[in-house]
Amino acid sequence: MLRLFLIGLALFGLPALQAAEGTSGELVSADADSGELAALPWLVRMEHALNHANFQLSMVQMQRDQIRSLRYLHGVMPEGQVALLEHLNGPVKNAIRIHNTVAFLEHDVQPYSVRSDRIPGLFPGVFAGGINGLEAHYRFVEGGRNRVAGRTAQLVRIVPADQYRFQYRVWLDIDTALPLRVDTLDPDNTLLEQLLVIELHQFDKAPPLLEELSQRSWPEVLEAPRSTFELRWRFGWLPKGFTVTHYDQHRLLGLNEPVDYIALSDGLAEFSVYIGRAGRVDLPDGLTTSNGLAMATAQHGEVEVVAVGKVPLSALVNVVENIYPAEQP
Amino acid sequence: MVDGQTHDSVLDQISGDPEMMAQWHRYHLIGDAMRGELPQQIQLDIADRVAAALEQEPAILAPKVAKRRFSVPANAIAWGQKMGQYAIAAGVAAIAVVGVQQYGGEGAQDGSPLSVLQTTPILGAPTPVSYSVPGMGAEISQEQRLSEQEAQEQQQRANAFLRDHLLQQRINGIVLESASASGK
Repeated sequence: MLRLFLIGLALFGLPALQAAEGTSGELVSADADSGELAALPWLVRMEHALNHANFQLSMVQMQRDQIRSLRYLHGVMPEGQVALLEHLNGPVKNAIRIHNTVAFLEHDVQPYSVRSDRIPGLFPGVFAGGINGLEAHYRFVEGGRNRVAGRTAQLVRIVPADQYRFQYRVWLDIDTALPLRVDTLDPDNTLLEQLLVIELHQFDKAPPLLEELSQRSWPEVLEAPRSTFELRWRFGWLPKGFTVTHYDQHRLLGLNEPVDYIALSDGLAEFSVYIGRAGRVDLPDGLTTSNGLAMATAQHGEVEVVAVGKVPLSALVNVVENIYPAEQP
Repeated sequence: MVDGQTHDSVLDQISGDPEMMAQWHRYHLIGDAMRGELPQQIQLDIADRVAAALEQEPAILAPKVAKRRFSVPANAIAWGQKMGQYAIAAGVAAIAVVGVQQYGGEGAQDGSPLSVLQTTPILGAPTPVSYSVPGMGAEISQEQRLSEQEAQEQQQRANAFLRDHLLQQRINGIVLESASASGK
């Protein structure tokens, strides 16, 4: 490993290391052409590794006001992939993925399962599938190299084409192409969230723990209500590339207010739109949390439109102010 | 042993490796959690408690700016118990209203989304404790100032949307075979 690092250092030298930390736009544009050509293969390798490697990542997830320590274990079995995500501090909070089902075991909550090809809340889902589909709305730019978790890592920037989504910087292990560090940055290049791997272990085959887990029986899959009706709203404006991935009607958690619910995604970023009757108290027009989750509200007469998601507030504001009842066919 | 289905080879591996032993122990913890009698069908109304376990997203609230862009009369849309019902005739009426009022509302200058950011946050305003800054707060007229109860209710509603979003993301899962597959 040390030898590899030294080779990396010799090949790419000090400028490359500096580039890894560089935030200047000039640097990106100067070698944008070559960088973009080289960056996609890295991400494709990452996509493959996340699905086909047997590994364990120990990491910390840092947001502006909190730090979590996590461990992620992934294995490939003849029948499919099995993964375990554990929160190492505080109350028990585990997620276990058996193929395309994810079970959540959490303190004080009855275990439940959902249909999902990925454990949510760790890497963006697109990292492990469909990265090519992002090319329309993001540029992939190869950066320099740096050392992460004691290994040499290659920086790849996933730069949005407009100011309506966040930028991601991914440091990939040059041996395995597994992500060792993922930064989420807002359009002003402020760091919102960082996932930092402390230690990476590779295995030849799936760890026995995962094998055991895959033989267990898990709770029935909880199905989200599916809509049987036409979407009755029309978006006057959406950031490019965002499409409706799901819609339904449900009662708002906690408040029990009925809402029309629409989920949208561009493949990487996603947000939710709620349309309901205006509440007794107006919501703030705009609100951001310290980890980039934002919320925008607009009132159109007695109808209140709320959008929530990890995208810049300006995108959500534009969306909620430009939504109309769908025209009849 | 666990459900009597453990293979010797697995046991050997585990007992020979302290790391594996630790994992084995963790696994048993999970197993214990799982052995609680699970109902055949998990009801969606566990959502409340699930959400309580979701991350409490720290909210920095910005106050409202009174704004009405265009109007959709609430009675144009069928809410209530029969969710999923859609009044077609009423929907057409709503579009007409939108068309007119939208243009009428364009003159509003204070409607810029950025104005939100310039106003004083309800929570976490960096105001010195024992010292009142001249001008600060003076721009907020009396009726704009929310009563404590209203502020609380507002925060509660805002949190409900944030938490529901997090729960929905989880329930709807991450489906890799392209977003369009789950679309319609």
